[in-house]
Amino acid sequence: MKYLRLITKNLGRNKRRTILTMLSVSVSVFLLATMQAVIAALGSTTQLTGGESRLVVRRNTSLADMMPESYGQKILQVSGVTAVCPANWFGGIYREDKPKYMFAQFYVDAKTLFDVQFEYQISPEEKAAFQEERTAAIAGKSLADKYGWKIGDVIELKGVLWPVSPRLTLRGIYTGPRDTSFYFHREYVEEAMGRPGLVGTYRVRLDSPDSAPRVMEEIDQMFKNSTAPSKTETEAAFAAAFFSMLGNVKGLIGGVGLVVVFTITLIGANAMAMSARERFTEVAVMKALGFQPGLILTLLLSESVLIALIGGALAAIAAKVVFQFVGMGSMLAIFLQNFKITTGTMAIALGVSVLIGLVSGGIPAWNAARISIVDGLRRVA
Amino acid sequence: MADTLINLVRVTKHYRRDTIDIPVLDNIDLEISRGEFLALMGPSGSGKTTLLNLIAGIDKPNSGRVVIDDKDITKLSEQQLAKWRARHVGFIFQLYNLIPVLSAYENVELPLLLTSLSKSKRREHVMTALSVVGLEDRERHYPRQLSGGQEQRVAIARAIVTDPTLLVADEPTGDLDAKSAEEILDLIKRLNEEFHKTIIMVTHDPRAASHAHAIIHLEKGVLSKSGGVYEVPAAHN
Repeated sequence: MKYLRLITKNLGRNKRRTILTMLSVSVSVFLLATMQAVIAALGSTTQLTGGESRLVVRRNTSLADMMPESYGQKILQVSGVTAVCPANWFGGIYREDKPKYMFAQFYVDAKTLFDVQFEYQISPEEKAAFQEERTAAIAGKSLADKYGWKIGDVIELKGVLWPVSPRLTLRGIYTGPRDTSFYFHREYVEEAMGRPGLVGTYRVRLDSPDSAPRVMEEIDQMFKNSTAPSKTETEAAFAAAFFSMLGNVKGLIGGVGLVVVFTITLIGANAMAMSARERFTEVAVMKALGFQPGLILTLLLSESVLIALIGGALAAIAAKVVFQFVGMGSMLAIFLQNFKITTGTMAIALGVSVLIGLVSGGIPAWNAARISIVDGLRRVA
Repeated sequence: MADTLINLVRVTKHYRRDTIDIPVLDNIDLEISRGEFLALMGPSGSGKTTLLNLIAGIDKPNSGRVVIDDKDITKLSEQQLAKWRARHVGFIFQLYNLIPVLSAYENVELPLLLTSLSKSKRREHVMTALSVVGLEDRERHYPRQLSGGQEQRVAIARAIVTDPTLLVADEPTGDLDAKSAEEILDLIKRLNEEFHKTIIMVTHDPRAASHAHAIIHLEKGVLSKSGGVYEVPAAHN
C-alpha cells in the first residue's frame, strides 16, 4: 500500500497521455464487451430450456417448403409423442419495416401450444382468453415490455410471406426462459388464405428425452415415401441449424474482437515504452537508492495495469449503461433478443483490460528494471 | 590511518565501446578514514565519477577489491548490493534528480519506503531530515516550485534520511549559482562536522574542494599522488 501513492502520482505525470491511453483501452474493451455480449446472445438462442423434451419436424428440403396439415394427427400416433403443435413463421411487418420492429411471430394451434411449450407461464384466464378468441394473440413478457404492450392492445401485422395482414388483440402475456415470441391463431391465417392447409414446422413434445432418437426415426420413416418427406430433429439441433444460416458469425465477431484488443495492446505498449524511456534516469536514481529491479518492474507494471483497468472499468460501466438505454436487442432484432451486458461480460472486459496492461507494460517495464544505474544516470549527467 | 572506512585495493576499471577497450581506472589503491570529507578532483574523463560509483556500489570494478566498513562489496550480488546501498550510502547528484511528480516530503520519504518503518516513523525521519536542510516548511512543494539550491537541499535531505554511513556527491554545486553553491557546501560540511558523515565529493571547482578536509587528484585513471596521501586544502592549513 505504501507504494500506491508512488504509482498514482506517476499516472498523473503526463495526464494527456494517461487519459488518451485509458480512452483507447476503453474503446477497445467497450467493443469487446459488446461483441462478447453478441456472441453470448447468439449462443443463448440455441440453448432453449425445455428443448430436450421437444422435437421439431420440418421438410427435409428447406424451411421454406411446407408439409400437409394431416401430418399432425399421424405424428401424434407415434409412441412417445404426447402433444403436437403446428407452427408457421409469419414474418410480418409491425409498424415499420425496420430492424427495431422485427420479432419472432408464429401462427399456431392455440389449443396445443401450451402442451408443447410447457415451460411458458401464463394465467388460466389469459390462456383461456387467447384460446377462445380467433383474433387473440399472446406475447412474451420481454417482447411486451419492449414495445410497451398491455393486455387489450391491438397489434397489426402486415404480411410479407403470406398475403394476410392480421389485426390482433393481445389477450395474454407469458413468461418463460425465452419470452420474446409472439403467437396468434393458425385458424385466422388459414381462413384468410382459403385454407391451404400447409404447415412449416410441427413442434412435438415427448414423454421423455430418451424417446427422442426412436421418435425422430419413426416420424421420418413414416413420411419417407410421401410427396413431402420430413426431417425431424431436436429443438437444439433445429435452432443451431437455423443460426448456422448466419454463417460463422461468432468466429467473425471473435476475430474482430481479438484484432481490436491486439491493436490497442500495441498502442498501449508504445505509450508505456515512451513513459518508461522518459524515466530512465529516475529509475536509475531509484535503483541507486536501493530499489530492487523486481520492485521497479512491479511498480511500472502496476501503472500500466491500473491505466488499463480504469479504462476497462469505464468501458464495462459504459457498456452496461449505454445498452440499457439504447437497447442493442432492438437494433439487431430477433437474433439478439437476449442481448445484455451481464456481470460475466463485465468480468471478461476487466480481465482483458488487466491482460492489456500486463502485455503492453511488460516489455517497457522489464527493460526499465534492467537498466544499469551508471547508464541511467549518464543520460543527463 | 586510523579507523579506515573505505579501502580500495588495486582497483581497475575499463569500459568497452564496440570492440575498443577504454581504460578508466588503473590499479587504484586508496584508504579513506571514517568521518573524512574528501574532494575528488581531476579533468574530465579522468575517472572521478567512475571511482565514486565504485565506492558507492553502483558499479563494479574489473579487478581489485572495494572494501567498505570491512565488507568487500565487489563480492555482493546485485540484490545484496541494492540492500547495502539503501542502508549505507546517501547520494547527492549534480542535477538533484528529484522525482518531479513527488513533493519534497515524498521525495525525501522515497528511500524509507524500502524500510519497515511505520508511516508515523517515516514522517518523523523525513521531517528531521528536512529540518536539517532548513526546508521543513516546504514539505508540500514540488521540485518545480523550488529554486535550484532548494532542490539540492531536498536531495541532500533524501540522502541523509536513512542515516547512511557514507555520502557521495557528484558535482553537487555544478548546476548552482555561486551563492546557492556556497550554501550547499556549507550544509555538506555541516553534515560532516556535526553528524560525522563520511563524505566523498567529486568536483571540478577548487573553491568547492576547499571545503573538504583533503583533496585527491585523478589524472587519466591514476591517482596523482600515492594512495592515502592527500593534498590538504589551504583552508585547513
